[in-house]
Amino acid sequence: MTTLLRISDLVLETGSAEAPLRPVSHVGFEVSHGEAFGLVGESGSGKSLTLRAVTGLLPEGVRQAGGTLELERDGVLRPYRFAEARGRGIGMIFQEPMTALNPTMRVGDLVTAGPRARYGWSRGTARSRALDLLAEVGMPDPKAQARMWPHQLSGGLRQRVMIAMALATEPSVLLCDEPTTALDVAVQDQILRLLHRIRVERGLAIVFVTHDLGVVRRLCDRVAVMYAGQVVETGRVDDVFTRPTHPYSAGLLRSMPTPDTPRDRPLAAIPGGQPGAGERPEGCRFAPRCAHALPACAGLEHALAPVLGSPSRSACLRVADLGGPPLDRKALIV
Amino acid sequence: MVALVQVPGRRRVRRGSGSAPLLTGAVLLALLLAASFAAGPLTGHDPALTDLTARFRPPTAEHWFGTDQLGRDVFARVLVAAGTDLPLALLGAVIPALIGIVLGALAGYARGWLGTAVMRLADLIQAFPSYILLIVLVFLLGPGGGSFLVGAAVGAWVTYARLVRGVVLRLRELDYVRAAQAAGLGHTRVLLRHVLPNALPQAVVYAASDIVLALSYLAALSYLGLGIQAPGIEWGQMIAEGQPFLRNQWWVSVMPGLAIILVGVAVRLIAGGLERRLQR
Amino acid sequence: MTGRGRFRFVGKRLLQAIPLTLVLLLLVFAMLKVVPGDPALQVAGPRASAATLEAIRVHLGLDQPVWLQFVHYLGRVVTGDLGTTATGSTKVSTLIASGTPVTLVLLAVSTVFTVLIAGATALLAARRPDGLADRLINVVAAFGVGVPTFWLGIVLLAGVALPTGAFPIGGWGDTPATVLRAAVLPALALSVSVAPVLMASLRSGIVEARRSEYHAAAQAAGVRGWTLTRRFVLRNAAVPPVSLLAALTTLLLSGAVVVESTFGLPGLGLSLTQAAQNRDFNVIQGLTLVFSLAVVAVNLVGDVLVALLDPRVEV
Repeated sequence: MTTLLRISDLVLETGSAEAPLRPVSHVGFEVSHGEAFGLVGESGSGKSLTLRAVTGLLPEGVRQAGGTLELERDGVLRPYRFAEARGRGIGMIFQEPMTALNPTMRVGDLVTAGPRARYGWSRGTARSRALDLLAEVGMPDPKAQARMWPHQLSGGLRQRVMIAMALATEPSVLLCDEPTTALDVAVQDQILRLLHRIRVERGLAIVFVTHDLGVVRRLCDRVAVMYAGQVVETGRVDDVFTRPTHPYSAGLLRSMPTPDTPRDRPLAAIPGGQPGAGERPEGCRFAPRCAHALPACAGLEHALAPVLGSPSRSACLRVADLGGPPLDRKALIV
Repeated sequence: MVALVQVPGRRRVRRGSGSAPLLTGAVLLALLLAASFAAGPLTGHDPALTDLTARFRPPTAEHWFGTDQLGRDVFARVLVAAGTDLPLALLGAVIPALIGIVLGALAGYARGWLGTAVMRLADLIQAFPSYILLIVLVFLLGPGGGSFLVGAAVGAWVTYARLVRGVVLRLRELDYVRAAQAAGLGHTRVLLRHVLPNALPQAVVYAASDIVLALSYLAALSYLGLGIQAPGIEWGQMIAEGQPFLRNQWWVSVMPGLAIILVGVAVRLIAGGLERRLQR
Repeated sequence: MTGRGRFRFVGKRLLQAIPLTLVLLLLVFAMLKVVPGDPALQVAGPRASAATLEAIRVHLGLDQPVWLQFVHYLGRVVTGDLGTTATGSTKVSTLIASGTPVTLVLLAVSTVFTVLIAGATALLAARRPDGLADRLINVVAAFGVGVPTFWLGIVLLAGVALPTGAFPIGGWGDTPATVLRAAVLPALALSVSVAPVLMASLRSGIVEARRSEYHAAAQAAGVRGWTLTRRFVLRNAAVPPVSLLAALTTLLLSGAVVVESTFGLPGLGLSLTQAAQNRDFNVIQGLTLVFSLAVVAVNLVGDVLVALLDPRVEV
């Protein structure tokens, strides 16, 4: 598999130029063709901002202060211009389908607005393509629903429209920003199945931003764990979920219920809270909450590095010391 | 009179206590009002003195705003007119505010036919364009400052009534008002203690901007010959008097308008300052 | 809303306007009852005998019960009979018929100016919220609201019409070209005080639309350029101002009354002020009716437009 999208050393800043805050600092990851990649973390970890930066749609007041964003085209990875990549190559699905669909446009017009503006599709082409797309995302009655307004649809159908809109420009990678968070549990499952099916049928790469580890385990091939604006661990989902190489990932996993968690035992929570962009400690940002922290952890920032005896990469200084599988989640359960 | 959802200049952007603009605006108005009583000594010209040998003098160091068709000093007359315009504009804003607060409270508490009637009346009044309402009322009552005040009161109470009614309806649902009522406090006490403090900041800001509106209505009425009549002196009336001489003696008409604009700026400063103070 | 739903909405809104119209008619009719002086005395003159006065009362229907008088009044209004002017020379309906086109043209040109001024400044201001242009425009707008329309009209006369000679210094025209030329300056004076209100609403709508998720989502889906501005910014930003439209037109109508006097335009407003000066009751009564019905109609149209633009407005 060849690399389709590469983000390296991404730095996002906010606030004044003299004393900027960095909600995202030096984040990097790669996504291959057809791969499902998960970006997990708590809210405030910078995962959604990272995703927005990939499309150049940062909220007001946040700016990209560094980093390269590259997309494969004709077999070569090269930096891209946002305006170009958005309609060709990169598509995006937003968290809240109610606010992400223009309330003053009919569903059918909305779905093909992108290619119409870009390729000058005729009204007729746009209409028939819209019906195809609506059918592809499983709208029960595309003809009728194309004539409806977004507010007339249920949350699940709205998210399907959102997906159809993103697919209209035939992207090769689909960025999904918590695509199911705003939905009912039953509908969440349908949308996840749909995304999986589309990915397989179209050979799409998908980047999932989520705080739901279950979604990652179910759908993703590889994962990057973000904490306080940095990636602390990245690797194959199988590896990270069974043998996490960073105490934070291990903690996250422990706080996730599994079928074999006894009902009466409370889920383990990591003590303390994630530091905000203005209150980040020197050195390892997780150190103040980490049970394994040494004085040295507070001193120097540790970049992602390969882990001996694991295919994952970790930002934990003590990975080697802790040795073998010391961070195996079972071993860590207190 | 039409209640506008959003008036420019009301946008909240800046920080600061609001004292500086509040003070600047208040001092401007106070100076203008004080000057209206001392127009003669201040300008060195008797505002009422006609001097046909000094007709239509253009603005000079001697006559800042020039002289009019009867040789009267326009600057002195503009200052004197402030003594008519400012108090009437102030009353034209305050009276409807008081009426609106009372009627709004009434509409909020008496939720039966009385409340409905008050609100329907408000709808009805808003169906008339403000000048037409004023002109009709002045027609029925005869021209003059009193008729203007009645017209302003009939037209402008609606905004305050809606505001206060909204606050009352919101507070009615809150526990502490119910508790206060249960504790035997009368409607009046509840109104004074709970409703007014909540509605007042916004009402004061409205009233401050309404002074500008009231002034422009008064000036327009007088300009049309339906407001202050000679020998009273009023800015709009001065503008009308000068209009026939616009071709060669523009200052007679144009200068009084500057005073209206100055009051507008001062009042907006006050309103902005008040809003900032009250919002904290 | 489906097409049929909209149709029903319009119908329902029309029905709702009927009671308001009746109340307005009643109010205008009641003006007669509160106006000082005896109408019969005014018709007959002060030296008329009691018998003459009585005859005139009967002739005017003043001896009948009030409700019957109202019914008769309604009948006359429906047939377009609003009486004659005080001098008896002209029918009020003729006066209205000749003044209406003038006022309508003035309103139309003012609306165009208002929308152009407000639209351009709003786009400029919204480009960088709280930037220099935005603040400057906000200050100028605050200033513009406080400038008296009639005074601005005079300044335009003195500063533009007289020196350039490109515009008449008052009065109306008789060909489309002269009519438009006569309407330009009064319309400009009128728009300056109204445009700031529309500008503020448009500006915040544009800023809000640009910050919205649907705007980002459209960009992510490749929408760009004019399509993005038109369908994902302006269309959304137009919804709140359209709901202001009725209020703005009322404001323009109100200002037109004054500005017509400044420029001597023979419209409804000039007739109204002249009638008020001459204490011409029939004219005042007829014009009040026309103006208030116009406002009812404007509100009706405004509501329907909002429903057309914003599909979320439910019936």
